[in-house]
Amino acid sequence: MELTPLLAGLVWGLALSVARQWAEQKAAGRADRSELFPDRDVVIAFIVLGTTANVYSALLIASGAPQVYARPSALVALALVTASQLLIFLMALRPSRLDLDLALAASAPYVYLAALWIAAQALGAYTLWLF
Amino acid sequence: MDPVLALMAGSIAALIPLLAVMYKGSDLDYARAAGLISSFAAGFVFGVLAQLWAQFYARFTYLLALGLMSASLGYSWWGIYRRWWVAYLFAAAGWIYLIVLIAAARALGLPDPFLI
Amino acid sequence: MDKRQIKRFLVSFFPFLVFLISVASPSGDYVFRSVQPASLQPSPPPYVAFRNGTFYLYSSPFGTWRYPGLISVSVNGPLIYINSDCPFGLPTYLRGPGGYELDVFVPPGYQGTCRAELLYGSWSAEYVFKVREVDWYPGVDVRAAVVLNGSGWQFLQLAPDGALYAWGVEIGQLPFSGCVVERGGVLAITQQMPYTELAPGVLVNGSPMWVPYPQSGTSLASFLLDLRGNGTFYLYPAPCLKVEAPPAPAVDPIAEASANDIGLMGAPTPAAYVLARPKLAVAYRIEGPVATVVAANGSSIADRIYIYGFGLPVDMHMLLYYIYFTPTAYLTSDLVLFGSKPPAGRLGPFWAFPGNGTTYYYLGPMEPYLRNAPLPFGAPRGWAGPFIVVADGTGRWGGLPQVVSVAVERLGPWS
Repeated sequence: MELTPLLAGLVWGLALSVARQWAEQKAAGRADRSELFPDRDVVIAFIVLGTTANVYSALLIASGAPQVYARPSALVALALVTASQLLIFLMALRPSRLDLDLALAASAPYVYLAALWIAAQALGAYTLWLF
Repeated sequence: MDPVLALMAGSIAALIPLLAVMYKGSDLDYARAAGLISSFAAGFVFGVLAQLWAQFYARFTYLLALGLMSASLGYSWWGIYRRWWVAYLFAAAGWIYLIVLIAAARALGLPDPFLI
Repeated sequence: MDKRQIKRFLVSFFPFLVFLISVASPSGDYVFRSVQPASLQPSPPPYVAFRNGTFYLYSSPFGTWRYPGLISVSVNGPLIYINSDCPFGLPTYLRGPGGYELDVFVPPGYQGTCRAELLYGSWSAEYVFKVREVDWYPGVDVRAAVVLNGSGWQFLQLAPDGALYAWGVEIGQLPFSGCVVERGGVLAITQQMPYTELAPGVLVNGSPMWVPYPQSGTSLASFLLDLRGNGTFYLYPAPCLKVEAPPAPAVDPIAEASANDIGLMGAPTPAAYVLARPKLAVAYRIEGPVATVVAANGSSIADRIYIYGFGLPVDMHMLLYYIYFTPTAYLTSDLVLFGSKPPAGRLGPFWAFPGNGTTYYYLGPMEPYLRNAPLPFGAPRGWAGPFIVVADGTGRWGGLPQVVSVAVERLGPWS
């Protein structure tokens, strides 16, 4: 486990979740925020952990030198990670009731990477980038 | 020794209580803000010291410094939770200890501040 | 559980998958960033052929042939295993990430085919090594084939600029210098003899006065060859081998000098005409398996001598000396540079002085023996030399060898 990308993602995730609290406060005013945004606890946890996972995987893939970029599967992973992080931005700065579904959509890169990993273990490959 | 890692450690130590306060909807007054700054500083120094583990893990003064920094972080968070600024004075104990060590090492001409 | 509960659980679980992959992978984080566990780059030297993953190597009967950096391995993953049946000293694993240069050491006399396989899990790369023995010194790809004509033992020296000397006389020029000499499939013992200038800046007969002196900067690679007619030896541009051999026997230059009246000169003094003989003392010794040098010097009222006795392990030895005559103008009737009696004849440029069992051959810029000349003549002044005396106890020596031919041979790849 590399410490620097992990901590960098964690810091950014915490900052985004603080931004979400501020956005929630602005949207709710005096009203009760748990009524307005159900599942806000899960969404907060997802913002923190999801940002950490996105930054971690993006930095690890990018450190794989130019050879990794020749693999389409790695480029697809980077694209999914970027899209996921944009959705997390959306969840942090524009809270809404649909945030749980947005979070589920933003989990796409993790499911993709896990599927690649299972296929790699089955094929005996030592890299995730099978194609 | 990587200063970026220490900065990140300090940021994490300050962002966690901030997130907790804002999540609960409590208001952020000057006592709590002072606590956040104190947490950041304690986390930063802890990050610096933790990176030197391989060089100093056998020294009592170093282990004591690590423990006092953790206690300092704990006291800062306690002060934020309870809005009790006296806790920050207890948090300063770790600071004073480190400053005394460094001054003593400078005066004695020793290469590093962990005396024994 | 309704859909909302499932969604909440999945949303909190999915981010952990990335960390689980990083922790649970056999190669750790490398699954994210490496495409292959290692990338290989073979870089064979010009005399090794490499085709279809097969190296065509040479082995030598004289020693281990070292091929440095034959395969460059850049390890991307955590580990690479090397599985081989070759006796080449390859490591069994390489830790990554990092770059390694694999050196191959082929044992002497090894011939055959062997394989080395680099693998990690399901990835593997295989190299085949085919080795053939060749009569060549390991590690160099060029040699000089020199054909000499002569008879008897010859004391040869090679200067750093490639000049070849026999008994201190330059006989030829080789294209390069080296310290490994092969004759007839066997390596000769070579010794680096340190030389320095006796009087820096002074030229005698157009050349500086090079004499053996311990711990000097310039060295001459010295070796012995026994010639019967035409003989070939090979010179390899390689550093000297370390040999454990007994030192050659020393020769006493002081005894030889006094027995042969070296430096005897008649000098007219106010009291009488005296025959001045230099009084010599030993200055230093250089011991070695090919030649042991005893250096002596001394002076008389008429001259100063610097004499070096080269003792060889064969039944021959050599004397090298330089004489400095005092600048005073002398008229003399006796000047002996070598010989207790007149020479018996000549052998090429040498004057021959037969003794009991040993024949001495003198080579120098002046006549060796002048005693009781009918008219006095002017004595020489200043530096004179080099005077070379070859003492032959075997009776086979036929004079200086001649260089018949010098050819440069290159080692090319086989097949």
